[in-house]
Amino acid sequence: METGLLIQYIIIFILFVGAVYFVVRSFIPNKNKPKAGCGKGCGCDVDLSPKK
Amino acid sequence: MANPTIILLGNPNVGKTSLFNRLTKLNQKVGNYPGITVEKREGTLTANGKKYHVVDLPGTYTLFPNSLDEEIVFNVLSDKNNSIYPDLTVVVAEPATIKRSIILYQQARELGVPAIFVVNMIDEMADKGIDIDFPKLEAYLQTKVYKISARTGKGIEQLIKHLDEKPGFYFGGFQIPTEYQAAMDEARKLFPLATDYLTWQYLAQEQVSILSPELQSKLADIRSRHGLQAHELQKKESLLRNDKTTAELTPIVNKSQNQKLGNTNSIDKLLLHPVLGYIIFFGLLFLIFQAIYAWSGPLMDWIDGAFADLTSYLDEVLPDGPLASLFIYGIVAGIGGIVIFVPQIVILFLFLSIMEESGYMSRVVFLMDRWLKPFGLNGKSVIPLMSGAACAIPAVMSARNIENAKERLLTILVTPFMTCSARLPIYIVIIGLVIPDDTFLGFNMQGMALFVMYLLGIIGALFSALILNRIIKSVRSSFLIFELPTYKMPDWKNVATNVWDKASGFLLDAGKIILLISIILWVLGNFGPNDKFYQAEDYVTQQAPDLQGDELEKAVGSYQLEHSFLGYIGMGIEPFVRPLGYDWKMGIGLISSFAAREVFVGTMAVVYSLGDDVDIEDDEQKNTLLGKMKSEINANTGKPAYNLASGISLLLFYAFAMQCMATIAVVRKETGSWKWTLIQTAFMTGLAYLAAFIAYQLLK
Repeated sequence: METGLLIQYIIIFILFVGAVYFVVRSFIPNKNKPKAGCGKGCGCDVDLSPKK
Repeated sequence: MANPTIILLGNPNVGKTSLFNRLTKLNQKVGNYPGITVEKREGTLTANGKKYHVVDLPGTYTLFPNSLDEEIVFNVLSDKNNSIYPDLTVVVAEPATIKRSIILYQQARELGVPAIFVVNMIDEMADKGIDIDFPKLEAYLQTKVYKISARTGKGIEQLIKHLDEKPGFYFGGFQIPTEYQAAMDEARKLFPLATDYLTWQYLAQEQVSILSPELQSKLADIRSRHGLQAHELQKKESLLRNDKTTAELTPIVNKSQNQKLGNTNSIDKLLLHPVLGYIIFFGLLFLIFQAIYAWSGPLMDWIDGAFADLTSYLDEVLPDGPLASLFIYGIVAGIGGIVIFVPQIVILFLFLSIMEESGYMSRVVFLMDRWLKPFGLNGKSVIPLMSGAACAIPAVMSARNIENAKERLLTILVTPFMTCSARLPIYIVIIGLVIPDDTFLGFNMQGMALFVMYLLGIIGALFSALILNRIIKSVRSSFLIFELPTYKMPDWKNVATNVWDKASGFLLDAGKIILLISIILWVLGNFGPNDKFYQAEDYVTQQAPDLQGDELEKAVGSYQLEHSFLGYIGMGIEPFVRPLGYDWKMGIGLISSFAAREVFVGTMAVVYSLGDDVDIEDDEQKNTLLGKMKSEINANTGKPAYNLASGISLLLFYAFAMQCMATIAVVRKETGSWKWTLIQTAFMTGLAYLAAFIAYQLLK
């Protein structure tokens, strides 16, 4: 395989892994990140958990 | 002091947001908390040699939280450690409802919050028949009172000049009734540093989220020992404050005939009429629906065309190679797939903002609430549900207008059931394949089938709301007690700001995820694990040596898709889709249409060697695809792949399944939670699987 093509495949691979990483990471809750629209410490996160 | 925090506090409909826009101009950002009064709006104001951090709190009538919005207000004002605890609170009032604003101001001052009082809409005092003795009001409130008109800008300069004002000590007005003193004595021991009124607030609330569970439990013990109910304490305070303030305001505020209210009442006779009110509302909905569905069409076509031109241009100028292909058909096409929704979002939010600003949205809630309440939805849910028939993306975003958190969540969760326009190409193709083009009782059967599919969307949404309403618990129950504001001309600055916020929020937040998934799907569809993908032409010519030119190219495309990673995933899921009557080719269609439902038709066209640019609106191309699909044999059963059983199964699957990454991204953005997004996706896909399974097993 010629070098130029190999470099292109490597870049695509990096982009693909990056995209998968960012999508998967966004699935994982970040405890340091404030809840939607809330300021840090404003305590306005919603408890909408399913009934136990 | 660096960046003093200024908080705007006030009842709904007093023009707080207009004042916020006036103070911050465009130096503002909106947090992704849904709802015009639930969003966290913050901005900056540079004046008096410093930069103020201005926060527009949700509108509230009282500091006793009855909703999430009001809880946010209480938490900010009661907790000095809160990051946005104010250096100054600007309590905004309007002349016609000044008493309620004064009660809110007094509550804030008694909590220990530094606050000044602003009377907005000062130019409407005469129309509203209000006469205020301002010197007396200032003496009564123990603060300077500023008279402004946020709409015209009158008095704003004066207000800004005094933002560094330090309000003097406030001598509280609310005397805690003696019957609660024993309980208060015990509560004071828990909060030795708090003001008396803050301790009372803690005692009078069932849940205080900023307190530890231990303290909350101790407060509950105190209430229990003294036989007190939290809401009784709240009621007592409200009644006492109301009586006292009414009496004390008599020499300060004079009310005569409210001309504005008279006009509003006349309009309401029409807009809230038991019959005409609904006709007008549904007429307006029809207009909105038309606008989203039809008016946005030319703009969407233009964007589509522009991206197609850009793609062709890039195809010509960029050197051949996989990277250029990813850039053109993965990234640029992915961005095109995001931008194309902007006209719909702008048009929908233009209508919604005008409805909200003019005061009509409150009437919509009043009209529709009784019909949607049994399903756990809100009167305002009708807007997302109806808009969902055009496209779920702007529809889900429009649920922001619903203040109650549970009702908003339910609306977001069920809106994607509504039959969006992207389902239409699939329905047309599948119905054309499996439903005879005959008449039944004078009606075309294919038309009836399409109608049933639309009906299924509505039933699916309401039925799911009913189920989810029983599963999701609410911290607070919602009840419909609200004020119908007077009608007014929309503040166009507010409308423009709102539309801009929604469109840019979608592009930046949801767009990011859509773009990432586009890249992933492109790579999966354009690479394969073995030789069959990369040497597809050799394999195809070996199998069919007579193929040439265009036919050969299409056959190679089909062969490559079959042997791409996406193709193998499609084959991998075959055991799961076999009970639904599908083969692996349909499995590929199901996976690729996760990008967007309408992609199913294009993918099937590639799978059946017709190329990827089949236009379903072109009868000849549609019939070619239909012919190819009709003759297709399911490798598992040996029967036609698209028979009545598998066709109905496929229709039901697409009616209920969450096959749209853009909707998933928007739901993620609007709920701020992957948990609810995944629950929704699992619920919809599970329901779709079950319905398709039952239909196929019964009909096969």
